[in-house]
Amino acid sequence: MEVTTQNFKNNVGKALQDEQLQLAMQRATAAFAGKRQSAVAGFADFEALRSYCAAVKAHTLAYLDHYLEQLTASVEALGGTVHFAADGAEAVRIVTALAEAKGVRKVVKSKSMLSEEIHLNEALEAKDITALETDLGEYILQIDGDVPSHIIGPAIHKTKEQVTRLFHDKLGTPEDADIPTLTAAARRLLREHFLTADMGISGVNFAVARSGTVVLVENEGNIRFTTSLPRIHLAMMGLEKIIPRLEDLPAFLSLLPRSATGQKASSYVSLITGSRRPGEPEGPEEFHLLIVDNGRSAVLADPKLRDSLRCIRCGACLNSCPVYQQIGGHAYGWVYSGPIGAVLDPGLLGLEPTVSLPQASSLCGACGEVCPVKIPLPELLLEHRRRAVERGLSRKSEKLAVGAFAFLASRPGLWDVNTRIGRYGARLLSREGYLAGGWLPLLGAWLRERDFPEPARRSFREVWRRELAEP
Amino acid sequence: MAPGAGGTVKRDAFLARIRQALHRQEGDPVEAPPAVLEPPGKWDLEALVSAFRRECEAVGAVVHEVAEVAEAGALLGSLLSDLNARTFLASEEDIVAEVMTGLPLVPAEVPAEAEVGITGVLCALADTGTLVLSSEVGRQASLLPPAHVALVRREQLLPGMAEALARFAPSLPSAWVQVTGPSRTADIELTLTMGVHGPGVLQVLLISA
Repeated sequence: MEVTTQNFKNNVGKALQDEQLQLAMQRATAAFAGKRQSAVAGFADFEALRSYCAAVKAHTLAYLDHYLEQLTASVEALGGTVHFAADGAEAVRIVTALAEAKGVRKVVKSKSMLSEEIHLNEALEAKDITALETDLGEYILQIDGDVPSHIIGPAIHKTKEQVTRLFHDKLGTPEDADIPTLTAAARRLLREHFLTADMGISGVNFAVARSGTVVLVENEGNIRFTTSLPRIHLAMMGLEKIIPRLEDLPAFLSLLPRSATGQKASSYVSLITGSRRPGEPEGPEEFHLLIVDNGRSAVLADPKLRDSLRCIRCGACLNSCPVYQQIGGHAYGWVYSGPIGAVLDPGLLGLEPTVSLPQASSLCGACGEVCPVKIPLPELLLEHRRRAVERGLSRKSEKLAVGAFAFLASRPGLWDVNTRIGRYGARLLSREGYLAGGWLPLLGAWLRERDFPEPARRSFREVWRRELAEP
Repeated sequence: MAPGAGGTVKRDAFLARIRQALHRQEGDPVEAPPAVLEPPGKWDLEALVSAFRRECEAVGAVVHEVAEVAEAGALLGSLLSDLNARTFLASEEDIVAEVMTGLPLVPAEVPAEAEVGITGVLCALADTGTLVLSSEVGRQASLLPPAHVALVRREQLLPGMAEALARFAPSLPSAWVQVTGPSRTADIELTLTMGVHGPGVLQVLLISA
């Protein structure tokens, strides 16, 4: 996925003008957040599970070298192959080289945010290998040439009317097809591909170090097809997806679906441990695990940002975020959006091109409260802002304004004179008790969207001096 | 692509970067991970049956309780005629063969065209209304057909995944699949639709003896 984090302001402007998007986002985030709320409300152990999963993830990250070695040994003991990629380009080379070496003509893919990170589909197509997204949301995006906007519901920025039109244009379904008809059309078309693909590429929700198991969570069944039918299964994961033991899984598998979709359990959870065994009637002949760094070791090395690698990609912080609810995922300009994106993207891409993202938060704290693995998202957003100032990356106008404030605030005499002038001016501009300065340069844009009350006749300092202070 | 010399170099460099990030040396000690949350350990089978039933129904799976295998066979026959299914795909299990004895069904010539899939289970989880399936007896019967009928013996019920792992791990099959209700999607405007890739119908025959 192209990085456009630098254009954040323009992206936001466009998103706020897009009525279809506004409609879709309102419907989707409210529904997600509501479902999560009711799933969590009826679940007494939720807080204990959060603490446990946060602790397990923090532990695994602290000893990640050990767990990576253990995972590798476990997968190899099962006859699988483990590949390591330092960055996206290397990951793509490994996958395309493997596909070419094995004579792969067609790849079916289940949802993987990592594959969006590294532009895998484009690279496969360039080698004349067909790559098909099989998650319904991802499939919709692929036939539309669009990109995901949400971790769990990649196509939630589209209304059903848009999808109906798209399927009519591309797949020939009726102009007024309802959602079950659209879904059935996708099932029929993708089924053919599942049956004829040479290779299945999946993501990984959790990789269990001790058993060499990759765990995949879904509702549709496309992951089961992807990991079962083609002769080669390749699972790709960011290096942070490890957990130590199978016994850790019940807690994570209880937390993830509740936080993501409000389900007690997802429809399908697959624990994939190697390829088909002797005596098993079906399953792939080969299992490959690709472990990708792509900026993550730098985040790991950063004692503050390391916590963001605990993320289990549930999307709860997106749904709870008042900014995300308004602008959707695309405006953030990269794969990861919402509060976790505003924290993770600067970590993975560097702060310079992403400096606007941590600003896109009212610091209301909702993201931190819903995070199932207790990532301190509000604090990390502030940490990025602090670093942006330290490194001189903040906007000129912001530097100027804060500088002017600091100058005045440390000179009481000058402060009094200036605030008196300011109050007088503001009262002249006020209409019916509110400031009406929409036409003003600089301040105008701020005032047009907000009701700022007319200032009082006298400042608190004056009232204090004359009437309240002890003589 | 075998893990040749190039692969080992990449792996070493990869791990070296991680150790550097963590300020660790190769072979440094590793603390024990947090103690696992232990489940209660005891359960009542009657309570499991009613919880399993409730949770299955909450996710759109239908549970039929039958006394014994012969009754299961009769019920399966009528379920299949309701589903209008004549061709089947079945997993390689004794219970499936027993229950299907005498039913007027033909195995599907092309697996993808089977009208119903019939399987047993490794175990079933009451907490979430979940079936645990093992690739040791196959993967496709519970996945390809539009309807899946699962045969569960009462004593195969367990409270949750923790108990299931305690009983069967660490010797896992290549695919241990947990099925909770029919295949579903909500990718278009979060509108729930059943049967997108996997079976849209899930029927469970819970057999007492």
